[in-house]
Amino acid sequence: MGRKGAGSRRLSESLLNKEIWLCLALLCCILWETALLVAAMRPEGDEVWKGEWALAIGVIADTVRTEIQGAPTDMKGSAYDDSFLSERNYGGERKHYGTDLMDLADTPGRLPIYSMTKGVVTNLGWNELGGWRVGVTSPSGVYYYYAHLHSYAPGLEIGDTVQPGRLLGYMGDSGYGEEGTTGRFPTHLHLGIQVYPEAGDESWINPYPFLMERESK
Amino acid sequence: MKLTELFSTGKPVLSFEVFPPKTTDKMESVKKATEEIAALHPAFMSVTYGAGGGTSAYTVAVAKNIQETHGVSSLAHLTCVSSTREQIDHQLRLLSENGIENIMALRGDIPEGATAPEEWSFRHASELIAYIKTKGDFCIGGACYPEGHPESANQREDIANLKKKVDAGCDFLTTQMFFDNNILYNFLYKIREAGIRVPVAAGIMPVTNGRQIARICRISGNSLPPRFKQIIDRFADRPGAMKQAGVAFATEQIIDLLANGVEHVHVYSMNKPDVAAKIMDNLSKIL
Ligand SMILES: [Zn+2]
Repeated sequence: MGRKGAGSRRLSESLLNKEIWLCLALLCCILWETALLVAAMRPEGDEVWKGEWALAIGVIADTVRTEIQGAPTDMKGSAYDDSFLSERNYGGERKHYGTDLMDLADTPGRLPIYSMTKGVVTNLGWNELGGWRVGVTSPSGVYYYYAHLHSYAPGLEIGDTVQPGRLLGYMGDSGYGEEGTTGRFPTHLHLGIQVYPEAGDESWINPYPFLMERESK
Repeated sequence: MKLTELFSTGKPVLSFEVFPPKTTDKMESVKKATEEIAALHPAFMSVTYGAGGGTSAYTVAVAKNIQETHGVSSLAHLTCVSSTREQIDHQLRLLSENGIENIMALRGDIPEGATAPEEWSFRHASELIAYIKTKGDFCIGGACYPEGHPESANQREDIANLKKKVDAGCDFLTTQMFFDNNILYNFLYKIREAGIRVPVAAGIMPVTNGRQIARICRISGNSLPPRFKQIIDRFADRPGAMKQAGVAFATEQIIDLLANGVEHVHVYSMNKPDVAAKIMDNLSKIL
């Protein structure tokens, strides 16, 4: 879950390109420079990495926090936990780059999925890991990824401008296979937040604290 | 009717649990109490297992009576503890002959001073479940522990065991009692994350005896939320008040569960028709 399809690549696989990354970073704005430097210098081990990265994206976190203005689903009917970077095994060993919101009744099509932010629908349709998914890119360029949907809101199309609270579709159990595969896992929403889509999987951040924070308000 | 059919209707399922008599002379009073509960027409009723002696036959008798007098599907408990393979075979035959299609397969509590446990044929509920599967077309339930099984090291181990049970052929799960719904919601998240998809009935105990529950919770490791402790502190000495408060608390728990999409609730009503009736009445427009 949580990985965008072809095109995304892991920074760890391209350590040879570290210099290139650093050069690029110089050309970027100061914000991104900091983020990438820390990412490139990260020591081995996810725990440390998680911490370092979290520091680097502190500024971005504020952006995300401000632009999230709605819940992704009916929070009463679902449950979630902090599972960021836990192990997942479909499609080879990989990490979990998001938060799963489980339908307490495990019934596909029951719970609505809403856009948490303002933005533009930039991805729609099937993807092997995410099933029927929606990607919304916010005005700040952060990518919000809603995966494993049961169905889409009528009329939703790529290029649509959405507001927080806009119905995107319904929670489901699609994905982990060819188009139309369902039932490989219990009904849930995989929510991903990617702060710098061009950097691939390294730039997914943990949605859990944002959800917690919103709920405790 | 198989309970899996009930669980798949998309409607809320409310059920009650009763226990069989320990001796023959109590059979009539137990029958009367359980019939009164059956007359309320819950979705189904479960009958606990009378281990040892001839009492396992009482489980069948009570379960059969519930189905025949009021057409309420029954679920008969069966435990690994105190049973040899021959006894299990005998019980399965008896259940089948009496038209009981649903079995709750449990390990059971090991009685103090248990004699000859080496003769018991099944160590774990998962083994019993797998065995029942080979013995006929039964719908099989298993137990699960939102606050962790008292004997398991941690919740991860607990959920791994639960997965084993479900993979062995368990068709649905019933939870141990809990008094804080958030404990159940967290638990549901964890079992769903582990890929367990069978229907789960949430176990609710209407507390009518304050002192007893405090003792039970000490043994089972159940946690009592402060709001609930206050009720016990205040009303435990007044049975009528305690019953009223206990039923109200259970009702509130059930309503919250339903509001959150947990549609299956199993009430540990024991053989108390008045408690079962009050709960049914409190939910008459909700169910
Ligand atoms: Zn996920």
